[in-house]
Amino acid sequence: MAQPVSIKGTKSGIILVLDKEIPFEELVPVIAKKFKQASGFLGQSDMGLLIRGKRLSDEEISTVLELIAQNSKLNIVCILDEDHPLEEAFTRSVLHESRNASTPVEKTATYSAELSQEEKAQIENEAYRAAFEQIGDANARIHMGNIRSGQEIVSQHSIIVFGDVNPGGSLVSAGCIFVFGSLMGNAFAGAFGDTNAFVMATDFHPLQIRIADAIAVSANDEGGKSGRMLGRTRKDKKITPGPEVATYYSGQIARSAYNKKFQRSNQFFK
Amino acid sequence: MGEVIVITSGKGGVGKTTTTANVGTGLSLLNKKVVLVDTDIGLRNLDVVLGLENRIVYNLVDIVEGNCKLQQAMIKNKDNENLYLIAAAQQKDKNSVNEDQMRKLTQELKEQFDYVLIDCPAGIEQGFKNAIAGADRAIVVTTPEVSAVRDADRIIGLLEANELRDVQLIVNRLRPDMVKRGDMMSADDVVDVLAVGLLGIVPDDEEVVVATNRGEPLVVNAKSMAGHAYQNVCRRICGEQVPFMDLDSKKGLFSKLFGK
Repeated sequence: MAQPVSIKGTKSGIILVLDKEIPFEELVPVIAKKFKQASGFLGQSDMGLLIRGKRLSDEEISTVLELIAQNSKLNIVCILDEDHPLEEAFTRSVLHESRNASTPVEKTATYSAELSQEEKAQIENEAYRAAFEQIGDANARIHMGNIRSGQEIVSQHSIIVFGDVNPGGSLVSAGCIFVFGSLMGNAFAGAFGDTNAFVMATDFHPLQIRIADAIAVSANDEGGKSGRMLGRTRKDKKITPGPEVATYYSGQIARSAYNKKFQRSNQFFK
Repeated sequence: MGEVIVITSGKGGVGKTTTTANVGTGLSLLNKKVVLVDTDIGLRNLDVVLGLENRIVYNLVDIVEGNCKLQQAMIKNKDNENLYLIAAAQQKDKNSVNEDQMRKLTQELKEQFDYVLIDCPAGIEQGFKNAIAGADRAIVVTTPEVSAVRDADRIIGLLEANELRDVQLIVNRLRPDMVKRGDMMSADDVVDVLAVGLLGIVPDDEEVVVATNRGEPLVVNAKSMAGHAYQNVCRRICGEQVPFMDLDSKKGLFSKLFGK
């Protein structure tokens, strides 16, 4: 391996690759240095951590977490275990897929043949990355209660809010946003540019919706004279159309009812 | 052991000081021992509303700096044995007091009084932090305007972030006729947005201006709508179940003004 320590970023977490041959004590300063260098790039957010290449004891893992906390602004929320059965299943199925793929020429051949250590690691890496991204998508940040003016939730994962998002409150997610309550503030889904992300709310009155690079601003004259008061008045609430969803549609944001039609559309399954 | 209640709003000019003066006076008339603390250092006016401006010798900053004893800085109200005021300093600024000092002060006051009411300055800076430091519960005052409600929402968020979860709302300066026409949010609309318990609805009342200028809290005057509303608020603070006033019907208004 070229470097004793390397950091790889994925959509929802970071992978720390360590050289098996070098004792942990010698790796410590290198890990610290690496994270210090990368801290600007990694930013400050909730991340998962996966340690690869070297088997670490619990104590060593906590040392690594301390190093990350000291040298970067990342908040490690979970540590993924490589031996996790789910990951194994992912790995197996992904490898299986690539073996049965219609272009079996290279990958399959190399897989079934005797592999060098490097190549094996490469394939495994791909498989894990796929698995990791799947798990990342399956996770969500769940918030119980209202988001008030000035409060903000930022997450790599999808965000689910059980409560209202008041005007001035804000949600930013790399994935989708679900609000079980009134969405009256700002929502930014697909913050890393995922145009398949969407925003759903059971009562949909946002000030601003952003998905990837598209932005939509609420109409000023919604509901006429009295309608500007916090979006609507009590009377208007009675004709609330029910759950609605905002999606990305060719550079614009489209708003539609969340119903069977939407569920059948391919947007939902992407 | 008494209770410390902070009266706050975020936005300025919605009636924090008026509410503090009236609720304080109202509670003292219900035979509770009450002290009002003005934390709006540099822009004090609770003393003016209570008509006690001329009696201030020592103030809040003098207490925390140790220039005087606590008892010396407590100004007894004109004709009410149960009501005291600790005025804010006018020459200092909000940073001359910190949260720990306020916590200590409110703790001391709690042992001597049934209710300690803290008049919070507008904004969310040091003055706000001082005011909520020792509070057990909070009353958020808002008017039925989008801007005031927006600020109240922010304030409630900050109170919750500071572990102050007992938050109640007073909707001030409501105009029933405008609500009826659909030109103003109703109290229910405000509560819907803020999602906290409603402590009182105070109608817009010219008498408030008159009373403020005279330096006599309105709550003594049961004939005025706003005064009556504040009386109800005080009874609710003491744990009584009081139905909300019927502000809508014109007849109710007249019978309240002239009927009795």
